[in-house]
Parts: sequence; C-alpha cells; structure tokens
Amino acid sequence: MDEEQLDLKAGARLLVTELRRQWVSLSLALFAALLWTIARLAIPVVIGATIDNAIDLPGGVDLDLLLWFAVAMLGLAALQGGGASMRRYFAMRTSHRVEADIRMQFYGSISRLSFDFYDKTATGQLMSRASTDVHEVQMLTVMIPINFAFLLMAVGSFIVLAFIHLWLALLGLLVYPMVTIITVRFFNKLFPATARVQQGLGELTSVVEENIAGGRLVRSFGREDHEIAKARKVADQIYDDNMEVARLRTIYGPLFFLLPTIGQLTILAYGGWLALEGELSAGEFVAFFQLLNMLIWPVQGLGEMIASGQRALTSAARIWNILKEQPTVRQRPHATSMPDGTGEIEFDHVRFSYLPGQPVLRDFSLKVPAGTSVALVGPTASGKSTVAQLLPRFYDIEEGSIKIDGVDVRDLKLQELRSNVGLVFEDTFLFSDTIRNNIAYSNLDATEEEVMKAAQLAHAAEFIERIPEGYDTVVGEQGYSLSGGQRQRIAIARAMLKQTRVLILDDATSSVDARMEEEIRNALRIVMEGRTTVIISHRVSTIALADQVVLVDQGRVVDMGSHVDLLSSSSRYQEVLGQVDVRA
Amino acid sequence: MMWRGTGGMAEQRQNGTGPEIETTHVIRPLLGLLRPLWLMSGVAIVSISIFALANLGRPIVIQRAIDDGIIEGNADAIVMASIWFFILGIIIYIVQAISTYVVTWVGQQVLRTLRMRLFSHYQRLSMSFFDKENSGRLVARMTADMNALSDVLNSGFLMIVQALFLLIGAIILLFLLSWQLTLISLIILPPLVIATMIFRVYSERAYDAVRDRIADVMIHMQENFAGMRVVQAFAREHHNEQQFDRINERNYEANLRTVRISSMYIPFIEWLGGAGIAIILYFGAGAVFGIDVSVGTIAAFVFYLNFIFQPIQQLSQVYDMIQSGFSALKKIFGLLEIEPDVKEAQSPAPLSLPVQGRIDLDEVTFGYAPELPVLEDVNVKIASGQRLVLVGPTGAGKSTLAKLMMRFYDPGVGSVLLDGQDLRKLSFKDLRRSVIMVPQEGFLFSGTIRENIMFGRPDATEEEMIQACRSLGVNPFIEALPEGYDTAVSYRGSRLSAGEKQVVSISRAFLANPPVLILDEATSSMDPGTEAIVESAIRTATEGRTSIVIAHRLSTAEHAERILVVNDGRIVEDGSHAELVNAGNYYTSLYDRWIQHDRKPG
Repeated sequence: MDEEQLDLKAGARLLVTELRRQWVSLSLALFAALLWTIARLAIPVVIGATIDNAIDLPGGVDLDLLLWFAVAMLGLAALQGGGASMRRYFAMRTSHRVEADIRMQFYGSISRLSFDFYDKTATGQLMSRASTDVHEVQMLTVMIPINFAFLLMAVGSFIVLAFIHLWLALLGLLVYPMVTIITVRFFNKLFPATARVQQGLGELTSVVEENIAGGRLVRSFGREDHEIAKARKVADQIYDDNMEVARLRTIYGPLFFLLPTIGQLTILAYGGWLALEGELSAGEFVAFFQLLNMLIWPVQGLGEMIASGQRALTSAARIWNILKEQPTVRQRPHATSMPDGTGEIEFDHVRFSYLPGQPVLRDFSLKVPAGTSVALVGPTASGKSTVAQLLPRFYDIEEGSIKIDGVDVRDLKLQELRSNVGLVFEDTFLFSDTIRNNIAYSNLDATEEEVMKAAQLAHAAEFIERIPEGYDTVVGEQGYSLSGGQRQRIAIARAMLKQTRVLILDDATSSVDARMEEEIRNALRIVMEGRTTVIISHRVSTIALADQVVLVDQGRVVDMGSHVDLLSSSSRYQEVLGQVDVRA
Repeated sequence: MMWRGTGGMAEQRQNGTGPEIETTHVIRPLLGLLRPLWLMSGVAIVSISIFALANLGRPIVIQRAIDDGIIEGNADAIVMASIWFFILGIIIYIVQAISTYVVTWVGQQVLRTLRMRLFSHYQRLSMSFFDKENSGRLVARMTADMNALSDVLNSGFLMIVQALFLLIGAIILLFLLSWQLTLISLIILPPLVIATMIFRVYSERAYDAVRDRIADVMIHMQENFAGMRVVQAFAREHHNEQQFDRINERNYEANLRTVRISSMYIPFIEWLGGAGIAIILYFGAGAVFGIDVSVGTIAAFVFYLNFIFQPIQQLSQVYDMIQSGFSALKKIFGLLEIEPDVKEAQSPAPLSLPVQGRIDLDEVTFGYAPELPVLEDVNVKIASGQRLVLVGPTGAGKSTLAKLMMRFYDPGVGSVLLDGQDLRKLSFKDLRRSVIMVPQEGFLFSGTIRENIMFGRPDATEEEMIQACRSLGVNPFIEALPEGYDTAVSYRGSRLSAGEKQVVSISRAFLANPPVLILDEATSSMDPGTEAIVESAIRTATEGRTSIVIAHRLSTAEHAERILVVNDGRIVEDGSHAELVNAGNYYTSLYDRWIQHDRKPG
C-alpha cells in the first residue's frame, strides 16, 4: 500500500457523517460554548462599569451599587465556569464517541476483509491508522466547540470594543493579519518537525530492540562499536530534529507574545491619551485592556485548528482508504448450511493465481474420499500450500470448482465452512492470552478436561505443566516466550480440540525436533482417524502417515499413489524428496 | 535447546529490574550530567527569572498609567508608562526566546548523553544479564523512561522555575500594593489549592485508567490484525468483534471519566476567579475594614490574580511530571550501576598468532543458576582443525557448552581454554576474532543481505564477499532472491525462510574466517533443495578449521570426524560415527530410529 491515493473529500465526508451522528452532543457543546463566551465578554465590561459607576465617582464610592456589581460578578463567574465545563464535557464526549465509533468500524471492516488484503498490507500500516490517524480525527473534533467559541469571542469582543471606541477598536485589529499568518505558518512547520522527532524516537526503539535481540551475534562478532555508532547516528538525528523544533519555538513563540503586546501598547498610549481628553473613562480603559486580549488570543487557537484540520482530513482519508476496501471473498446471498457427509473433498480443474497472470494452480484436480488422508508433496512454490488455503475459501478460485461433500465451497455459509475445516499453519500464531485459551481458541465451549486431553495428545502437556503457571501462563507477543516447536504443539492441540470434518496440516511439525515429531505422529494418527486429512510436509515419516501421496508440480497433480509405490515408480518424486544425493 | 528457551526459563527464576536505588543517588549522577553544561544551565535559570520579573512588572505599569495618568490627568505619566510597557515587552520577547532555546539545548544534551551511555552500557553487559531481563523492559528504559525524563527537562523544569517566580513575586507585589486587600483576597487561595490537589489525585487515577484501557485497545488490535488469518480460519471474527467492542467501550468510558472529574473542577476554579475579582472590587473600593485603594491598584490586583491562578495549576501538573521523571531516572541509573558478569581481563594475555584453534574444557561445571548445574564436570579436548559434532536430546546442555566456548558465560568451576590460554585471560578482541558462532535461528539485522554478510567482516571488499558466497555454493541462491544481495531484510518482518536466513548467517561467519567456528543447526525442516544447500554450505564452512556443530539432523553427524553425545549435562559418548553406531548406546538407538523413519537413502 505504498504511494496511496488520498481522497480528501471522502475524508471530509467521513468526518461529517460521524459528526452528524453525534449531533445532540455536539449541539449541546456549541450551546455551552455560546454561554461561556457571553460570560467571558461580560466580565471585563462589568469591571469597567463598576469602576466608572460605583468607584471612580467624584462623590466617593457608591457602596450599594458596588455590592450589586460584586454579586453580578459572582453570577457571571458561575455562568462562565458552568459554560466552560459543559462545553468541555460535551466536546470530549463527542470526540471520544467519534473516536470509538471510527475505531470500531475500522476493526469490523478489517475483520471482514479477505486474505488477499492481509497479503498486501502490513500490520504496522493498519496500526498507525487505528492509532495515530484516529487520534488526529479525535483531536480535531474536540477542538470544534472551543474554536466556535473563539470565533464568537473575537467577533463579540470587537463589537463591544467598537461600542466603547470605534477607532481604538480598529487599531487593536491591526495586528490581526500578522498573528493569523504567523500562527498558521508556525503550526504548519511545527507538525512535520515534531513528526520527524517521533520518527527518530521510533527508529531508536528499533535499533535498541534489534540490538538486544541480536545481542549474541553482536558479541560473537565483536561488533559493539559498530552498534554504538549506529545508535549514535540516530541519537544525533533525534537531537538535531529536537533542536529544529526548539528553533521554531524560539522564533515564533515569543512573537505570539510580542504581537498582542504591540496591540496593548497602542491601547495604553492612544487609549491613555483619549482618556486624558475625556473620551474614555478609567473603567473603559481597564475593560479595553482585557477585551483586547480576547480579540487577539482566539486567532492562535483558530490557526492551530486550521493546521490540525488539514492533518485530520489527511488522516480521515487514510482511514477511509481502509473502510472502503471490499472483501473479495463474500458469502453468497443464498448460501446453504454444510451438507451431511464426512468430508469428501473434490478439486475440479481449479485455476488460481495470487497475482493476475501468474497462475499458481493450473488445472488442478484431486478427489479425496471422505475419511481418508492425502499428503501433498512438491518442490517449493509448486502450489501445495495454496491448495490448503483454498479449501476453507480464504481466496476464491478463477476457474473450476472446489467441493466438500458435493457442495461448492462458494455456496456454503462462510463461518460454517471454516468451522468445519481445521487448520494448523506452519508458523503458529498465539494470542496474548493464557495457554488454555489459546488451545480452546477453536472451541470456546471446550471443558477443562478436553483442553488438557488435547494438550496431552499433542505432547504439549509435558512442557506446559513444567512452566510455573501451567495452563494459566500468558503467551503471545507480550507474554512467556515459547520455542517454535512448543508453539506448533499448541497449535496441534488447538486443532485436535475441535472435531472438524476436514483437517489440514500445513508443515505443522516443521519446528518440532525429530524425536518429538515421532511422538506427535502417533497423536496425529489418532486425530486423523475418521477425518479427511490433507498433510503438507517435507518429512518422509510424516508423509508416510497418509493413505495416499499426491505429487504436485507447477500447480498440477503429476502423480499419485502410496509413498512406497511412488518411491519406486517416480523419479521426480525421488528428486523432490531429495533422494538423488546432491552430495554425490 | 533454543536460545530463547533458556532465556525464558532464566527469566522466570529471576524477574529482576536491577537494583532499586535511593533518590539521593539520583541527584549526584544527574548533577554530574549537568556539570559540563553549567554555563547554559545558568543562562536558562537567569533568563527564566528575568522573564517572570518582567511579566510581573506589567500590571504595575498599567496601575501607574491609570492612577498617575488617567485619574490625575498627567500626560507625562502615560508616556512614561508606554515607554516602560514597551521596554518590558522587548525584554520579555528576548528572554523568552533565549530561555526556550537554551532550556531545550540543555535538555537535549543531557538526553543524548544518557541515551548513548545506556546503549553503550547494554553493549558491555553479559549475556547472563539479558537472559534474566525481559527485553521489553530494557527497551522501555530507552523509550518510555527517556520520554518521561524528556518531559521534565524540556518543559517541567521551565514551568517550575517560572511558576514559582510568578507566584511568589505576585504575592510579594500584592502585599506591597496593599497588604490589607491582599490578606482579604488570599481567602480564595486555600480552596484553590485544596480543590487543585483533590482534582490532581482523582484525575491522575482516571488518566492511569485511560492509559491502561488504550493499551488494551492497541494490544487487541495489533494482535488481531497480525493474526487475522488465524481468526478467520477459526471463524472467530464475530466473537472477536464483540470482544473488541467491549474493550473499545471501556476505553471510551475511561476517557469520559476523566472529563467528568474535570467538569466538576473547572467551573469551581473559574467561579473562584470571578469571586476573586468581586472581592477585590468590593473590598478594594468599598472602604470596608478601612481599605481604600486607588483604581489603578484595583486593576493591578485583577491582573495579578492570573499570576496566582495559573502557577498553582501548573505546579500541580508539573508535580506528577517530576515524579515520573525521577522514577525514570532511578531506573536508568540503577541499570547503569550493574556491572557485567563476564569482564574483560585488566591486562589481557597475548594470543600467539596464528591461532591454532585448540579448545579444551577442563573439569567444567556450570549452571545458569548456581544451584542447578546444566553441565557437570565436563572434560573435552578439541584438537586444532577437528570437526566435532554435538548430539543429544533437547536440554542436555549442548548449546550451553557452545556458549561457554564463546565466553558468553564463565564456568562456575573449571576453565575453558583456547590454545592453552584460559578464555578469562584473553582480550575480548582476540577472543572474538578467534571464535565465532552461527546461532540457530539465523538472526538478521535490518538492512540488506549484503550488509548482513558484511557484518562478519566490515572491511571486506565486495569481491571478497561474493567470493565467500561462491565458495560456499550459496551465490546462486542469494542471487535468486528478488533483489539479490540488495534484498532488504529486517529482524522482524523478514520474509526469508528459516533456510534462507541460515544461509546468510553461515556466509556471515564464513566471511569472518575465524579459526574456531561454532554452528547451531536449525531445527526446523526446510524444503529439500534449501536443506541440501545449507548442508553443503556447512560442510564447506567447517573445512580446515576447528568446528563444533550442534546437530539436529543425524545426516550431519554421519559425516563428522568426531561425535560427542551430551546427556544430562555430561559427555556420555565420544567417538567417530562408525564407533558409536556399533557401541549399542544412546547414539545407536537414535540412529536406528532415524534410519527407520527419516533417512533419505543416498
């Protein structure tokens, strides 16, 4: 998914749709923003009015009026506080709701996609969308109400200022364009710079992870200095990028302070002169000072929102690119349940390719009678693993048909089909969960005894019971690390726990050492009884388990028979099994 | 036995994070880091304090403008005030720029030094340390802890100095303006401080919950995206979607909880601010309690209120930041204090050249935990140029033997000798030039295949590298990869198969051309073509030098000069294939089984 096309309009549509869904909460946030703004604007006006009407009087202070003003002040403060709190609450509620909804949609959408999508998309890509991009959208959403308030505040404060003194107000506006330009420019420069810092930190993490993971090699080859140099390069880069951010802040940060100060200075000098002339009262002068801040300060917020809005749109477009993906394997409208039967498999003139024009299977035909087993043998890239992936319909074929018990897999309900085909992959994926739950993954209703029975059969029980927490040990990426062979034994136990009609073992014992494999083989023999089994393996002993061996080459069945028969009759079979001694 | 396996077991025994160290022990090394930067640190503190003072001066200027200028009708006072206001503005502008830059500079210098010190320390530590420690935790020292420290250095430090100056300065100035009005106004201070403290406690708890919940969300997504094929193969999409829905909603709820807490705090604080203004207006002008201050003073009081509210809220924020910064520093310095178990000799003995490659294990007893010996009283003499194969069941101690020869560990009793010299007396440089190991899983560093092979001898030329691959017979194999020697690989997401990784790994060691080569065969089965290439590469690589191969296939043992059978930490059989096959012991039974099931007649 490199060089992806970003449709900003579609991103905007996604944002609007999500916001519309939260309209109640969003409207409440905007209403609260209005209340908050009114209170904020009123406070300086009341301060000014208090000074002029109750304090700075020729005849001294008017105590009664002063008390009323003080009470009004308390009321406005309460309104301001209430408004702020309500605005924040509903803004956060809206934004986190949007965040959770998008994440859920994203997750659901990925769950529904087919294997071809996972083949072309890295997990990291999906994660960065589900975390960084969703976060960007949330950040924009949460800013909407306060920026609405900022807009009102800027307009409102200008109107109030204009009422007090039009020319003075216009003078205050002078710095406006400058602040706007600087703000937008600053944030547009700042974001890429901080993104570079983040990227550098990510790189450093990889360097450290890799260094620790490969620690033995580094020591073995005495390459510590080389590693240190590698880390230093990244650390220096982080330093440089951080200093670039510092430079931006050094240039722009003080400007955000200086420009309002110029505005204030104007008010102080010109306003002070006006006050001397009698055109402005002392109260108005004080009010002016505070209102001017409210005129200028929102610009910074708006500038930040413009920059953040651009990023959020890009992020939304990136999310949309995943949401719009359609699964290539879809359940047909009138799909049927699994037919009665014991797992007869038939591949009929199947043609399939992962990439257009490069067929992996061409005219592949094979019939496996119910309850029997077949081993697929063939050189690398002959298409044998593909056969295993097509049976549970992870991909759809181009020509021909694949039938289980006489029904085309495309006419079956997808979930039911897959629940009836057990699969053990070459590299076993374990979830960060207990060993028990990983084994019971295939069958959520399995009892404790059933889980242990399966583990025993797969010769997993012996090592599980030796680990301190036994079946409760958490494994997976964050948990206890198991060896490849141990993982495979768990996967075999997982497949044994569920009585599926068809069982596929795709190089399922490749990481188990030879002695252990011999023991597991007995277990496999038990499990295979009465089930249709497809075995893919390089090990002669495992191949010999099957009733029938099929030699696959270049996407076709080229020979078939028992292991012993093929050994004597097929030179290609001998060659594939490595019997022609390359050492000779 | 796999490398990871041992690591895992050891980790269970001792789940340590390094020694806990006292807070006072953090101060000293921290000051040590800052000492070379004392000038800039000083500049930072001075500029921040000037910043605070200049800010505090502004309300005074406005007060003068109002009282002496507007109320008294004095134009000169307004001009003076404007000039002062301008000067203060310029000062603030300058010191703000200086402090922003200098504070970041000091912080980044410290961080860079600390990052490199930690990384270099990781290079010095022994393998025994990495067996005990969870690697995730070691990475976290470099990421999460450094970030916590970075927050303190970049903004925490600045905020504290600034907030303290502003708060203390504002209160002093208020007292000078009118101590009576100040005393009354400060009524709002206790509720402000108490409310802020209570809020901190609750919101910190709520934010902790958010951190946990969002981590749940990320872990679940990461795992399901990576394992979606398995999820679909077991038809678990719906079940997992429901599960994610719950996790996702819990995260939403945790987020809302933080908002609810601040929804109670914020209106109170804002109202308190309004109450402060009301108090100033009423008591300041009201002549109640005999207080009667000027209009300008009232205005100044209103402005100064901000200098009290903001710093208190800031200080409470910084408090948590400082705490996590300190605990991060404790962990980092704690780690830096750990000494490697396997240390290089102070004055290493010279190794006479050329290295013969004679290895002797002399009455070696060793266990990862001293009370659980993995090897007991092992005596082996490996002649120069001998090709030795280690055979034995999983967990017998074969890999441990190899690790002792690499000096990843030192034996508890006895000694390991190279050309008659105890490994403990040799320099790391000599040792590592002489003994090189090819690990089982064929570890690849991020980079190209070329870079990975050159890792063995960085000063090798392109021709030498290709020549090495050619003599191993793996050249066509590598060239068949999508981009040949330029194929990008990474230690994680590499698409290379186990066999392909092994090929690169062997080439890397072969290029380094060590007198002694230790090779841990891959256990996983490969397709026959690759397996043949790997086997022939191993044969070539071990030719003409001392080699120790940990065999997982008996086809490897079949052709060895000498086989050692290791069982239960002891050498139980020693001899050639022909001798052992007929001895009727462990090796014989192993071989018979293999002949029956797996052997490919040749």
